Amino acid sequence: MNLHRYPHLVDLLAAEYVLGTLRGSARRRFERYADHDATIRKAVEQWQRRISPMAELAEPRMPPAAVWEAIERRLGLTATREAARPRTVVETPARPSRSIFENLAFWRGWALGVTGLAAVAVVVAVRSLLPSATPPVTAPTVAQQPETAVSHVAVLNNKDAHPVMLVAWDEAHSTMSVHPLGKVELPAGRAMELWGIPASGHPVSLGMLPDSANGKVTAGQQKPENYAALAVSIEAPGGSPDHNAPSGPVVFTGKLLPVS
Amino acid sequence: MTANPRELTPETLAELLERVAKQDGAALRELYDLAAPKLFGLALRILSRHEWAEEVLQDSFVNIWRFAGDYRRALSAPMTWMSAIVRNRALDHLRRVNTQETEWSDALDDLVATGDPDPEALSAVSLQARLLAGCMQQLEPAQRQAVALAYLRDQSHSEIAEVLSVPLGTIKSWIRRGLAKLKTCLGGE
Repeated sequence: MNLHRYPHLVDLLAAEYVLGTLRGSARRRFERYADHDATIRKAVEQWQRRISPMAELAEPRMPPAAVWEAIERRLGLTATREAARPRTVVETPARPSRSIFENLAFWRGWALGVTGLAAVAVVVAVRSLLPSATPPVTAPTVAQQPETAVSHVAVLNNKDAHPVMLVAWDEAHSTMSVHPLGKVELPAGRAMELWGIPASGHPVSLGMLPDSANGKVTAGQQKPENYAALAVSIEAPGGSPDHNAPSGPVVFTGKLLPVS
Repeated sequence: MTANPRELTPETLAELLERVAKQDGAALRELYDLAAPKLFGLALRILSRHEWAEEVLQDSFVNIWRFAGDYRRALSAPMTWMSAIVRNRALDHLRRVNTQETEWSDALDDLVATGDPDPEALSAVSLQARLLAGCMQQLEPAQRQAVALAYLRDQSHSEIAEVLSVPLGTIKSWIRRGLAKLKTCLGGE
């Protein structure tokens, strides 16, 4: 049958196809025609444009809160519970339990897998900026030194893979300078602790961070070569009682990469 | 229209979908806050049972998260795209459960919001949906009901005839004439 001789029929069939009342073998036959016929496909598309907005015309109704909570659980988004405020430290019950913190595969997988690519991209950018754009050196102990020499860089991302913090490690002067890349908000009365994650072995506390995520941290005897990644956990002021394991939730991580 | 910080405009929704496509959980939350009431209303319209509608809304947002990257601004308004996901999920659900058990207590209510178009409510839908709402108003109530049952509940001619207690032939001509009027009203080749 040459449907083109019956343009009104084509249009009606297309309309009933989209509406759903064209059924059974008639529907399948129409689909076969459409496969080989751009005119039919166009008629169907036009009817889809006309009719599909009907789905928007129902009265709005407020869904119960349990629906969002279930979505969050299914997608593993609990870290964004207080959402709509990206780049914000959100204190959530530590999803990974203590035993997971001690599981090194978890640490490495996260640091190297999830944040690796983003970190590499930023490091490439930072590398070109650092020699001239080194932040002003304010710490008096370092002020007399000829210049800072950043040897390693880590871009710390939150769980949404948003960069929140840049850590530039100056090995020669045993300091790390920390720069916020986004707004970092701490829950009241809590502090941020920086951790070094070695390729094998336990995490090691590298010290407490300023609440503003802006400033310097003394690296002491710590060497950047010993760590594959850095992480930040939320702790009580003073930090985790265990220097080899965070006690609070880990909120940021990023791969530590040599700059040269 | 008042200037809320975040309005349910197609631009806002499309931006949020773009961020959701990049696995931005905060964007999904914003999108949910903005669009869920509308989409839940749709799910309730199709399914009539609260717990089914909740399940479908949940599945739909999981799908929106997974397929946001497939959304194309040029092809449909964001609300239309998301509504299609909810409608498909809801119809799947209807097919899974025994349709005989479905309560059609509200079958004779209008499936689509009609009456005085509330400007506030209409600002929440796409331009195409607003045009369609206006054109649906021009149909006879029975024609409008038959068209809405067919699309929103995926009912066949004979199912609609049963629900509305009118002969099959009458339903067929109501739908045919209803579609013709919609085409005249909405335009197109």
